[in-house]
Amino acid sequence: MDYKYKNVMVVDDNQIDLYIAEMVMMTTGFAEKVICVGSAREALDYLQPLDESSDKLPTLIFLDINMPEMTGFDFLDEYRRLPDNIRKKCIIMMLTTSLDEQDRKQAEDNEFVKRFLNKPLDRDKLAQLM
Amino acid sequence: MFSQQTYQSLHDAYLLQVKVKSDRLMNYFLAAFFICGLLLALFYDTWLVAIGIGSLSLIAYYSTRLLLPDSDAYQYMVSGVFGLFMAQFIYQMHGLFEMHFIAFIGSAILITYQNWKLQIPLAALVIVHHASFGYLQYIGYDKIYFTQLDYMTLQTFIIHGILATVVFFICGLWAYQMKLLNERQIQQTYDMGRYQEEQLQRKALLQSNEELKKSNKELDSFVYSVSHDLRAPLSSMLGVIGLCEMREMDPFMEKNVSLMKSSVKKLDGFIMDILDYSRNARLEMRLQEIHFDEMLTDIFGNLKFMCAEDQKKVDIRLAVRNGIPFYSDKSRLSIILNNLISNSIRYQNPEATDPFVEIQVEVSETGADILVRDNGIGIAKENQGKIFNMFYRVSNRSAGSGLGLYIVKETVEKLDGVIRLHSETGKGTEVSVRLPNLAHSHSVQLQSQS
Amino acid sequence: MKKALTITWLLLIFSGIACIFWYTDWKYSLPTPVPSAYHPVAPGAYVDLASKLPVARNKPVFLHFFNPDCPCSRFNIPYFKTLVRKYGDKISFAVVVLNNDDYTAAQIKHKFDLDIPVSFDSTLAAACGVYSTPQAVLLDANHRLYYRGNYNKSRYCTDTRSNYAQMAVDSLFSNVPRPLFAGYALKAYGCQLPGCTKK
Repeated sequence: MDYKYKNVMVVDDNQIDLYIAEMVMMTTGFAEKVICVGSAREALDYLQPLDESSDKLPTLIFLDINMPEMTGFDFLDEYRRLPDNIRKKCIIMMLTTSLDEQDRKQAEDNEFVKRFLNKPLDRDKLAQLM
Repeated sequence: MFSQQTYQSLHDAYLLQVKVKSDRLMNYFLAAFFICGLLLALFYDTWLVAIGIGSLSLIAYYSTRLLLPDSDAYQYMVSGVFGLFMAQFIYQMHGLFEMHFIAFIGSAILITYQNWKLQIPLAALVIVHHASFGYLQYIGYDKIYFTQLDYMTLQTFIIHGILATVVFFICGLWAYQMKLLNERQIQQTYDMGRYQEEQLQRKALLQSNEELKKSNKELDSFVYSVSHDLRAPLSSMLGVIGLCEMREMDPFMEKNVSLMKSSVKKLDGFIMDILDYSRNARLEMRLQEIHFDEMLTDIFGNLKFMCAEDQKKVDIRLAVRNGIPFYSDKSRLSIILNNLISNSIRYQNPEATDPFVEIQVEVSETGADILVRDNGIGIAKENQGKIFNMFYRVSNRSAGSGLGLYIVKETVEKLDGVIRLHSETGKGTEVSVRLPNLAHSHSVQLQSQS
Repeated sequence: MKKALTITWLLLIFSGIACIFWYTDWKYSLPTPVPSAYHPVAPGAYVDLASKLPVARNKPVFLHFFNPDCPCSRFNIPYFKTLVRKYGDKISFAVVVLNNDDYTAAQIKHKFDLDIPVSFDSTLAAACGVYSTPQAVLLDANHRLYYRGNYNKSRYCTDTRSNYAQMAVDSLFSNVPRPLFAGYALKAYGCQLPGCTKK
């Protein structure tokens, strides 16, 4: 199968949503490897040591906004402090059920966020990204 | 509460105070006059006059006070009584002219009532008495047997009369001025009280306004949080249903999954409707310039995937006539358009060959006329009156929550607009909305914010 | 209703007051009642003062009949003093006190603030034909009765237009024939003498 992306990371506190994302991506051949993490902290912990090994870094990061302890935006604040290598490689998509205009605007204003998507992820939405 | 005290009642209270105080003073003065009379009687044994006239005068005064407590007749009586005492003293001292000063003392005492008219009985008594008996003496009538009067020439009489009148006049003037001064003070006190009360009221109003705004915001926040938490699992469910649909399923499973999907979507839609309703009701108006093309494009973007499986794709036609800046609340306006357009899509006519929804917008300086027209299944005449009611659904096959048009109507009214519906079953529906151009309020809002 | 009642009551009181004024004034204007045992003494009669008053001979004498308890007498005091001041050098002034209480000469002199002879002899009253106070008796240089009468018109001496006593003195010294005085001058006003009974 021809995978679009080698590595993709999904950050979401909801187990079912992680499961859905992984299943859709794998079934549609969107990604070869889907890294699922349950919190923003875990995501940062995963990314940081990969400073040198850029081929292990995920190309896309799907980021949920509403998460306990560290929200998606908190993650973006921390992400800014990561070394350049990482930041240049990873493209971030905000993923959320949020209807809030402000969230959308805040996401779009952020330099690292490429798109703002509504959950649930499905085949059509992924098709848009390909 | 101060407002219950009208100016009149304040005034009356003050007058009562003056009256009570003055009456008490009068008791003392009259007692003093009576005692003076008794003391004067020692000189020339004028006991009959002292006791008789003195007590009769006092009786006259106090009986007037007792019999007519509500009128101020007794005050005029005091004036007359002072005149009588003067006559009595002069008589007792056998024409001691200096006793005439008693009249002036009486005149000064009367100032305490702050009523210039009280001077009149006293003045009248003195002048009429002198004039009449002077005249009688002048014409030579001897047997007056009433009073001991010095003979006076006309000139003397006139001079005395004028000077006495001047004294009475000035005392009356001070009484009047005192009254004016005090009235002014009462007015000021009253105004001050009213002003303070108004300030307090205004403050209370502002405060309650602030509290209301705050609670509105909190409520909206609450609704938002709740709706968000309610929708999260629903979106998960939709995601999992999507996964199922990605595999081949036997028809039975497929049908069940489809039913689950529509139920979840319905619930999701209902939650969003509640959120819209809450926002319309609670949030403050935020005015900005509306770009209809942009807005409608966004809405269509969201509704693109709305069609149910058995429905055709609806053709969307736009006819926007801009030009003049139109100001209104963007989020509320988009709720209106969203609801109307999604209704048109949802209730398309399955028999129509080319289902469409047409949106016409015409902007003028006074407002915007929006028309959403479709060739859907239409609404029966007997239902058209109820269509805007809360939770009203035409039939149990209706996909909506019943809140949609209710929210539209509420929102239109919040924007100060008017909504009208024309429909015919089988032919289609036309909803026209007229919204005022809130450009003026917008500039006011900007000014108040700067 | 109440108003009408009040007005009636007040009119009643005022008429009462008017009555008192009227009554007292009328009473004042009445002459003193003449006592039952009165002997009138005509003008020109000789009055012997020798034993009774230390007055000089050949000088007119002015007798002031005075009763300290009589209001009119008291009222008269300032007027009498002016007379004394005016004519003191030409006439001998004396005070005859007609009173049952014990007053000393010193007290009387103090009342008048004058140092003139004071007599307590009530027979002088009869001698002069005086039956009320205050009365003025003017004796010429020969101690003949020149004038006996009131000081002025009304009983309580409030009318100073008619100063009969003064007029009498003036005419005495101006050597005109004795004037005829009107009834008001001669008809005695004032208080009755103590001890007298009314007619």
